[in-house]
Amino acid sequence: MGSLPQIVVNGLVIGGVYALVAIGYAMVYGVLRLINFAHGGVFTAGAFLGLVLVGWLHIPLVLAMPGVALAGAILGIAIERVAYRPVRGSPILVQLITAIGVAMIIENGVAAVFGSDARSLPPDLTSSGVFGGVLGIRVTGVQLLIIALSVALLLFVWWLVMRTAVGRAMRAVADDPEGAVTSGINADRVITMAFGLGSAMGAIAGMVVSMDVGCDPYMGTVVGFKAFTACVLGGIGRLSGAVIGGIAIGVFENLVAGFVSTEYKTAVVMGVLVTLLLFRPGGLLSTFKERTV
Amino acid sequence: MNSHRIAKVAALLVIFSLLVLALQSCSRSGSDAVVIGAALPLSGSTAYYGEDSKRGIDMALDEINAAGGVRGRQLKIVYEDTQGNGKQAINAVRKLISADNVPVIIGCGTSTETLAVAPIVEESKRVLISPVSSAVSISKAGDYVFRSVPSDGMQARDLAKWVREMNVRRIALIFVNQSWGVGLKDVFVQEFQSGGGEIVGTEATDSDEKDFRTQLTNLRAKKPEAYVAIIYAKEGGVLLKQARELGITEQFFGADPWTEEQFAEGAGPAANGVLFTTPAKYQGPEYSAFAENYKKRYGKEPGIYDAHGYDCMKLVAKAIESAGFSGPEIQKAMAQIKGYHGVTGETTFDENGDVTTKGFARMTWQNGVLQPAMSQQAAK
Repeated sequence: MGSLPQIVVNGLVIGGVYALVAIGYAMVYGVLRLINFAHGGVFTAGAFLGLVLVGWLHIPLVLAMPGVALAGAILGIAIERVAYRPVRGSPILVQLITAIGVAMIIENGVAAVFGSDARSLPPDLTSSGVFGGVLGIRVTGVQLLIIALSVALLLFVWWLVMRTAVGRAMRAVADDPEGAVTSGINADRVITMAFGLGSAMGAIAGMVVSMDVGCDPYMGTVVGFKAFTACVLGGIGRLSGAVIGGIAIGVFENLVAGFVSTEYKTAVVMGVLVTLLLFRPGGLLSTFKERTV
Repeated sequence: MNSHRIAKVAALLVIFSLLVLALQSCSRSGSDAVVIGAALPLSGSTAYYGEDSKRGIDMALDEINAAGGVRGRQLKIVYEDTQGNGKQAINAVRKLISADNVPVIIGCGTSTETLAVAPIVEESKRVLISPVSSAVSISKAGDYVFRSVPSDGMQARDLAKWVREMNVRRIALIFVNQSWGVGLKDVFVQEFQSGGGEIVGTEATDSDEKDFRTQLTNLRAKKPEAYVAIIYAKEGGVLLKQARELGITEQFFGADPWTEEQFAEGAGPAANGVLFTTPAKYQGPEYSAFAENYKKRYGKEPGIYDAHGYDCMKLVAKAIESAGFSGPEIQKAMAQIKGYHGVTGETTFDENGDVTTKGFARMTWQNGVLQPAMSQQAAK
């Protein structure tokens, strides 16, 4: 069918967003074994900050983006300090409820400040031209930006985690928290790093999505849910798994929407996920015996 | 350590009981007021329905109380948030009935909510009157369910007629898979096909969907002459924008949520020239007076649901005034309302609690301004 290339490109764009958000879940899960449900809220906060900086104050994108990343990082670190650190070591249920509480506070906080209506950036900023190319594919400038940014940021994270001392410490804590501490790694600092970095990615993802389709206070719920699913699909706690899972879900859900049924898009995606996990409980990238790290 | 903890608990208990006392005296001071309920979406993606209606309700309430209330008693309203979903709506209505013991509830917003709570108000004999819900199936929801907006059955027929008048024979259809969207779509499809029209493709979406590119890509492949999209405001804006970005140039038709500002904001220039039906704004003297007072109070033009919220509140007060304070009394009085002239036009309820005395208007957006659609646009 002629629309296949377009559908795959649509999937890659949203898949890139899922991957950026999924990285945040994976990092926090890696070092804390905590599912940070507040992460969807960071995504939403990034979207609204993008609206304010780019849409209202007309700050150029090259300046606004680091600003959003920094603010996202600060928000993530603050969430960890205020909400998670006091309950660290408590039963997992306590931590989960705290995470859900934080998510609700952010969501409704944004709604209280901005109102619950959907907002869009002015069209002169977001209608950045349409590129019609090979195979009848049409993408907008913002969509190209999303793809380029996703690739660049994911490469950056990979470099940071695999090639720097900070990354090594992070991997050490993820691997064996007690061992890492006894060998002189400051676990608190590593956890702060994981929250900061993951939240910066999530906030940037929110910002580019708001440039593409606008924002509302509840936008983080669905994206957060899909990104979390991406993590599980890829094997929770693995960064590469989160990326592959995110892109796979983005493309797959668009293929289902394109060729099977839009109505059952999410149901089909989840059905496949459940089936897959029955056979590969550790996610796509795991072998049967391997631990998920 | 231990005594410290006991002191802490004791302090908490004292604070808590003070709070309870304070709250109790609050409610006691207003105990001679008649309490009614409102269950509306005040958060979530359909919050604009609730927020708009609430402004109208509050305004009507103040007017009623300033004029001496009903049957010599002041009216008080308790708002509960339904969040645009049926489950929350049920919680809200249960709370209003069991905790506040209200005989009448203004609500809900989306038709999904109204249909979810209809069996509850029927069973407990409380009146429900919606300023927003227009789904076809609400007609059969029960004797205690009323609404001031006309049913979508009428809207769907008007829309189908309009599409045919523009000489469009082959359309692609997108609808939101909820009571409102499905009801409107079903009647539309029936009307359009019986008039000889052909529906070349249909796509369902969830509310809150933000990415329509794949659905649009699918539908475009079927080469329709026009698109009919029965989806809410926020989603509609995104849909239009993405359709134009994908190079789709055909005419789009829509329904009443597209009167909302956020539709035009979301679509940007893509909103220009879209055609949609919406409950007609009544232009009589009652409306002009209302619009003037509304502008004084809120500093902007009233929307269609502000006016319906206002009328619902006035209808409730009228029913209480003429019959009494209990649910069954209000139901009886409400069902007998005939030819009431409010700010949304004339209200006469039929045996289903529907108004048949209000019509739909044809509207369009032009450069961010909502205006009546000229039939000449058909020529394009």
